[in-house]
Amino acid sequence: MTPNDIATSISGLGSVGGGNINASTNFTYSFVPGSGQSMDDSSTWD
Amino acid sequence: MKELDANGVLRFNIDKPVDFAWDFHRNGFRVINKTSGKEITEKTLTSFYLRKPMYFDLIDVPKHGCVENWRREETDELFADFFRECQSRGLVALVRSQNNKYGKLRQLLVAEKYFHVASWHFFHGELSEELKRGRWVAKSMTQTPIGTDKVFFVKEVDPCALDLSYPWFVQERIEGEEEVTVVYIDGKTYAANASRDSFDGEDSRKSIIVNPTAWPKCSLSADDERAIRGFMNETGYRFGRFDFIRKGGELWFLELNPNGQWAWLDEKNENGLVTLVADAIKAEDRQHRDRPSRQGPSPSSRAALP
Repeated sequence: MTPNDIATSISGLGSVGGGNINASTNFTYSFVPGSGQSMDDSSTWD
Repeated sequence: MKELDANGVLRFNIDKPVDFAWDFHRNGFRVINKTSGKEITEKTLTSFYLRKPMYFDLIDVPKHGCVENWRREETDELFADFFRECQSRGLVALVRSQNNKYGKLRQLLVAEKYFHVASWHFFHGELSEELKRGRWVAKSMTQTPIGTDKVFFVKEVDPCALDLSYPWFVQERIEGEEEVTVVYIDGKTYAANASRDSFDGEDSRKSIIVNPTAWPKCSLSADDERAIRGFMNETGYRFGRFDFIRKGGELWFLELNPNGQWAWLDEKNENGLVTLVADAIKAEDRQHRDRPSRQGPSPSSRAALP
């Protein structure tokens, strides 16, 4: 399996937090934690 | 620069990962040059000199990213974080990092002192014995986009099935009762939780994305508070959002997001989270206003301002 196989397709999920989920990888999907073991939203500003 | 190898230095080429294997874990690390057989571990490392990572085979990165760029960013971040850790331990030579960021590797190392931490590995090229059993999830060090319509969510994987030509970050799956997120605001905390029943891998995350819901506020024990303060004091961060899993009543550390999103937890300020953040901003602002330099910049520095 490659990272491409692991990555999740988000097509069709639409708009989140005022922006399209495809348009900004840092401030759309990242604010939602969970999915078992968390996800990072730290890399943009630290 | 093969001459470095001939002068008693193990050289790691970040742009030739195929020649190397590595494994960083809670008990140490091992980097091996697969062509020469030379290796270095936590027992043999005495100094680390980091050249600026450079790739001569430049690639065009599409707007939504690509896996090769993801590979490079993940590898760069791992070794940069390791370099910062070596610097904190007095083990770097010639070059110094200008920041004391705690990336995922360093966070996990510090967290061991304060929380429960599930086993983890950052690896490439070889699979350690530990990864051949148990349940693991794949994570990423960075948020580098990986391609159109693709997000690298946390996902359960069988490490034996992973393509070892890529850098991987995996952690043992934690079977807990609930997820807990804690916003730390300059000494104060705001905690919220969600039952693990509401999560079932990426599909549940998709449902949360489609229908975002704030998690209810929850309390922390005195031990939890002490551990969180200990972690923040040691890392020097004054703000951040922790993610934990609560298992058997105790916190298992996942990560600290040093500038993590928080407003979604209390969007209408019904629980006072917005006020906590605003008060912290104003408290620091008062310090800024009280500084002697409040008199204004010197004429020379004023001239340099836009």
